[in-house]
Formats: sequence, C-alpha cells, structure tokens
Amino acid sequence: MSLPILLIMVVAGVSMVGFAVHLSGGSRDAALASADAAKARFAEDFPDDRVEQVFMAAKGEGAILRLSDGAVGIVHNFGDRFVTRRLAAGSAIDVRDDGPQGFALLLHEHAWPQVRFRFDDEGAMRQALAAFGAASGKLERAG
Amino acid sequence: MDTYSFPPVTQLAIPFFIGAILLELWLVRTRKAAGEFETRDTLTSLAMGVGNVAAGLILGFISLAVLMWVWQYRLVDLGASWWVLAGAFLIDDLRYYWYHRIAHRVRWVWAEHVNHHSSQHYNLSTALRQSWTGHLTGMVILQTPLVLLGVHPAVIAFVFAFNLLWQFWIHTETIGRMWPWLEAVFNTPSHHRVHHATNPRYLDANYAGTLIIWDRMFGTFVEELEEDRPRYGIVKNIATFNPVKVAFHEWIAMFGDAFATPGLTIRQRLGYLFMPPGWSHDGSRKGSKELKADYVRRNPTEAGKPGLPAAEMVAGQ
Repeated sequence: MSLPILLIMVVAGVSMVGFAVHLSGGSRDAALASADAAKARFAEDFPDDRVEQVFMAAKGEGAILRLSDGAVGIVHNFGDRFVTRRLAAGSAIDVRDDGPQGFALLLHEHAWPQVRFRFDDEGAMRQALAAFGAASGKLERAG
Repeated sequence: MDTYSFPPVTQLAIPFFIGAILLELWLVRTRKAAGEFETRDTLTSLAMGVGNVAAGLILGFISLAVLMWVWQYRLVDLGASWWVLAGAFLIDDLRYYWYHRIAHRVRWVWAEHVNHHSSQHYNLSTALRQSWTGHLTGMVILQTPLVLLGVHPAVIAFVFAFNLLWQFWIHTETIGRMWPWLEAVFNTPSHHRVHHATNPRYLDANYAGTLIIWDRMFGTFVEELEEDRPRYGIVKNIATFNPVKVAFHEWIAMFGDAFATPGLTIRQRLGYLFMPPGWSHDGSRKGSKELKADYVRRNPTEAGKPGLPAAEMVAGQ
C-alpha cells in the first residue's frame, strides 16, 4: 500500500472517530457528586485507608482527603474518569499558588507533573491547604 | 525476503478498524450495548496506534536484522504452505503468550507494554493503543526458535498479523460471554476484559493472544465474574492524554528509579530494571503479589479462588 493512501486513510479515520465520539457527548469531564463519592473513588485504589476529612474542589473536579495515618489522598478528574494518589505522611509536598481560590500540587511524575485544585472561595481553599500542610508537615509553597 | 511476499494485513484492515469502532460507538451511544468512550482517550489510543506503525517503520529493522541473521542458521526452509502457516500461527501464539507474560512480570518489558493498559476505558480503540518501543526490549529473541526451525521471518510477521487482528475485536464490552466451546479454546472479550482489569484477582491473568488454552495450561487463567466487574487501567493510573508521555512515562520512571536513586547497590538498581512492576528496594511499593494478598486479608472467603492466593500463603507473607 502506498504511503499517501495509508496516510489519507489514517487521517480520515482518526478524524471521523474523534468527531463522532465528541459529537456524541464524549468530551464531558467527570465530577464528584459528594464527599462520599470522593471517598468511594479513593477507596477503589486504596481500600486499606481510612479517610478522616474530605475537602471538595469546586464543581466536583477533585478532592483532597486527610487520612487517619496523617497521609493525604487526592482524587482528581481526568476526562470522564478519576485518578488518585496517596502522598505519604511527612513527605515533602510542593504547592504552587494558582490564583486566589486555587493551588497546584507538583507531583514530580512525568505523566502527571502537577494537579490543580480550585475551590468555591478563598476560605475553602485555605482550609484545604492548611489541613494538607499540617498532614505533610513539610509543605513548601512557591510563588 | 525476495521469495516471501505477503499482503500488509494490518494496513489493509485499517478501514475495518475504523468501521468497527464507529459501529461500537453507535451501539454504545444508542444503549444497545455496554461500553464507554471519551474523546481525548480515544484520540490518544488512535495516536498510539499510528505511532506504533511509524515506530515499526523506523525501528522494525532491528528485529528484522536479528531474525534475518538467525535465518542463515536455519535447519531447513519450510516454505509457506498452508500447513506451515497454520503451524507457525500456533507456535507463534504460544510465543506471544510467553512474551506477554514476561511483559507483565519484568519491568524492562512492562515499560513498553504498559501503554497498552494505560487507558481506563476498554473499547475497540484501546486495542490500537500500542507500544512504540517494542523493538527495543530484545524480546525478538523469543521468535528465533521458530526461525531456526525453518520459518522465514516474513512468514512469522504474516501470521502474527492475524493474531493482532484477533486481538482487535476482543477489546470490547459490547460482547458478553460467547459460546462455551469458543470461551474454552479462544481468547474472547470476556477473557481479555479480565486481562485489562486492575481488580486484584484479575492482575497477571489471561495473557493469551488468540488461544486461551495457553493460560489454562500454564495456570494463569481467571474467569470473569459478574460480582467483580473489571475496573480498567493500571494500578497507578496516569493522567495524561499526551501520546509521547504515554509511550515513555514508564521508561523514564524506571530509569529514574534505577539510576537516580542515591545509595543503591548494583543488585538493587538491576532490580528496578528487571523485577516485576511495583518492586522496590525498600519494600515501600506494592506489586500484584502484595495487592492480591491484601485483598485476601480483607476478603478471607475469597482465599484460594482463581487469581488469588490461599489463606496460608497470605499468612506467611
């Protein structure tokens, strides 16, 4: 098969499928309906952890979970799914300012370098950040 | 290669791939069948498929050079009669089973294979989420016995294309259980859903390409259970739709662990390269063995069931 024909087939095929999935509602982001939903999603990946407190991000795009052993759990949407991480107690956590109602955690992962959290208001953001900082003990906030 | 010329099966199948994905999407969206699609996830999978073809064009010469070198030392030239094609398909399917098992148990090979599992979705587009770095792991060595027996590398490539075609259509939730005789012999959507799942009982199971008999023979077969629906993805899911990051994230993590962690012995550094995914020098991470044991501790009545360790084995850990 000649390369031009192969290229045309591939480009046309990928475009067709992409448009079809998008136009049929495939681009909606997932949202956490409640703190219980955040706990349930975190428990799928970390069933042995006990969650003490949940800080919900705006529009249910994610949540920060304070765990019983002092560690921190995070749940964040990723397309129509969620991704979770567990940040061990005492580990250094880099936080970057991200506007008056949000912050970004630097995860130092190639495939997930940072995760942004936005909250309904600055108070909610500070609550989450404070609890987060207290849990880590080594919160490092860069401007 | 002059005397062996076969049609480019996977390239000819591209219209079929596209048509089948659109059909599956229609079935899902009209609620005639189970399944889910996400735009960026689908596009990432398709981009990985395109990248796999491109990588084959660029890096395929490595595997070809090795196999053609080995071809000089063949016992006989078996040709390309129908029985040679059938026999080569069967033996190569067994080769695929072992390649695939190694790919899940040795991080060096997992680094290239993980991208195929990196979607949290399971639909026909996931089948095309293929590796870009498969020619770099050295697993071509598993094909050399067949070449030494007298099967030309072009014949192996031709029959393997049909293996890939079989593996395409089983990446779907739209098909439930099939006829018992088919489920007994062949890899089916149900069996392969298990393979893509992160539920502890399903980890490291159902490595088959076309024939599920290899898993049944070598003790890695696990049946899909209605009460434990598969959750797709990897144990530590990634959060990127960038195909380049999908292709290389585990290589970067692996080399980071092996060479950027201070104070490790050479043995520990090699462990990060060749031990199973999840292995760590200080035991701070969990691999499939530990995750299965944890599950049995939480659910003792499940001990000893397919895919899970016996209670006494868990107690000993």
